[in-house]
Amino acid sequence: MPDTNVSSSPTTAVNVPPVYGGLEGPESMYLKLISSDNHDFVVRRDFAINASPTIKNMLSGPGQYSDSQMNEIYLKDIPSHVLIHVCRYLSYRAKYTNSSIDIPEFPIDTQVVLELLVASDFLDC
Amino acid sequence: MLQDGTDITGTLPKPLSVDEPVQHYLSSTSTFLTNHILNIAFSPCSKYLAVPKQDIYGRDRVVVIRCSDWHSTIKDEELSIHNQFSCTATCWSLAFGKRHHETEAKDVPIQKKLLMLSRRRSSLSAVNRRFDFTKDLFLAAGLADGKINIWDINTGELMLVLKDHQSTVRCLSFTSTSMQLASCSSDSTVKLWDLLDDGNMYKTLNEWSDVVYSVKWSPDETLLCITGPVGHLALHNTVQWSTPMKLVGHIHNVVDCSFSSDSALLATASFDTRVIVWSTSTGEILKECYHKTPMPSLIYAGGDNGAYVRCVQFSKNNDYLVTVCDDNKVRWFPLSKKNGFPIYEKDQSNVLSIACTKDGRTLAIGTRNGEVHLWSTLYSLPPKLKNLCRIKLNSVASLKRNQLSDLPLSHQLYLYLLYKDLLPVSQTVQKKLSK
Repeated sequence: MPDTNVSSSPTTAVNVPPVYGGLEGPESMYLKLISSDNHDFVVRRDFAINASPTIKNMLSGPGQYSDSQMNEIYLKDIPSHVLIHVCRYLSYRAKYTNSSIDIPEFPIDTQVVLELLVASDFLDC
Repeated sequence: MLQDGTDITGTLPKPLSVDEPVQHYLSSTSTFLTNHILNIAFSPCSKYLAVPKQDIYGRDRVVVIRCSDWHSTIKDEELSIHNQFSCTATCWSLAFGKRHHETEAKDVPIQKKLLMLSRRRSSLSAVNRRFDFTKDLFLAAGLADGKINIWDINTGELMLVLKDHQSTVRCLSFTSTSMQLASCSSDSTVKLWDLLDDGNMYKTLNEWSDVVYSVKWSPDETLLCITGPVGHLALHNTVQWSTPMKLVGHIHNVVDCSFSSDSALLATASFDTRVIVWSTSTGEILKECYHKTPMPSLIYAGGDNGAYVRCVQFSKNNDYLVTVCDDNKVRWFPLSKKNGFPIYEKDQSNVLSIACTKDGRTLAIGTRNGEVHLWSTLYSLPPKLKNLCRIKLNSVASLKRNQLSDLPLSHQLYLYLLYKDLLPVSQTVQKKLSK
C-alpha cells in the first residue's frame, strides 16, 4: 500500500514551485506512523507533536524509542482502521486550533469508538 | 488573563456588535417597562432569541428576535424583531421545541430506533390529530397564572394553551426530538405533555409538597431532572419510571440544572453558592464549583449569603460550566481542572439568567433591569480525541449506561468513561461541609 512521498527541492525557473518536506533528517516535515498491520501513515510532524505528547516523547527520548534517525514510529497496538481516524483527528485539531470560524463536530463511527478510545488513551491526544 | 495565570490562546468573552441595537430596542422606555428577565431562550437552530418583556401599558409580551448570525458585524440587515406575542400574565419560563426526525438518522443503532418507536407509538401519526406539531418551530411560555402558551414561530399564531397547573409555571423543557414538554410549577407538580398527541398530559409527578424550581430533559431523553427547595434533587428514568434517584448534597434551594451533551453529567446550581456536578449513572458528586471563597459556613450557606447561583449551562463539548451568580458575575468553570475555581469571570450588574446557543458560540445574559446582553463565549481548543470518544460512547450507551462495565476496557478507562477523572485530589472541603 502507499508509502512515502519524498520530494526534492526546487531547481531553477522563474516561478518558485512548492517545496515538499521529506522524511529524512531530524527536522523533517513528515513522520511515518506504522500500525500493527504494517500500514504506513505519513503525517505532518508538527501536527503529531502538538497533539500527542506520547509521540513527542518517542521522538526525543533516548533508548529503544529513539526513532529520530528514521522518523518512523511503530505503534504495535493500534490497527490501521483505528490509526486512520487518529490521523484525521491530528489534522482536525491542527486546523481548528486558534481558528475563529465555527468548529464543526468531529464525526466518530460507533464501530470504531471503543478501539479509538484505547488508542487515544495510549497516545494521550 | 485568566484566574490561574494561564494565557488562553484565543478570544475572551466580549459583547458582540449586535448587542447594541438589541439593547437599544429592549431598553427603550417608550416601548417597554423594565422588568426582571427571568428566563431567555435560544431556538435549537440558534437563529431566534425569545425575551419576556412588559410593554408600556403593563401588558406582558414575549419578543422573538431573529438573527441569522449573531457574530456578524452588519447591524441592520440580519437582525430583526420576528414576533411579539402577548400573554395574559408574567412570563416565567420559555422553551423552544422542534420535531427532529431522528429515527431517520443514519448512525442511530437499530435497538434505539425500535425503542423510541415503541415508547410513544400513538404520538407518531399526525393523521387524526387536531394540531400538527411535526414541522415548524414552536415557542412555549409558562405564565404566572399556570397556563402554558404555545405559539408557532413561522406563522405567529397561538396554537395551544395548556391549562392545568394551579400556580406559576416555573420552568419548561422540551425533549430534543420528540416534542414532549415537561413543565414544573409552584403548585409542586411536574407535568409531562405530549404535543404530538395534541398536547395530551400523560403524567403528573407529585414528588414533594413544595415548589419545583426547574425541570430538564436529558439530551438523550431518558432522564428527567427535577429540582426543588432545601436541596431536593431527583433524577427520573423516563423509560421505566422506577423510583427516582435522589441526589443528596445541596443544602439550600436548587434552582437550575443542566445536562452535559452525552447525558452522563448533571450540573446543578443552588443558593448555597455552589454548583455541583453529578454523575447520572452512579449519582455521586464528581465536582463542586465555588462562587464564594472561603465557602460560607452552614448557617450562611443554608440562608442568606448574597451569592445565590441562579443559572448554570454546560458549554459545547462539555469543556466549561457557565454560571450566573447574585454577586453580579458570570463565571466559567473548566471541567478539566480539579479545583473548584473559575477560569474566567466577567462582571455584569444585576445579572439574572443566561442562555447559550447550541453551537456554543453565543451567550445571552438577562438582567434585572430588563436588559439582554449578547456575548461571544470563551474560546476553547478543539477537544481531545479521548474526550470525543467518551462523549460518543456515553451518548450511544444512553439506556444501558449501567452496562458500560461489560465493555472490554481496562478498569482505568472504564473509570474515565464515568468521568471519575473529575474527582478532586483532596476531599477535605467536602468533609468540612458534612460536619
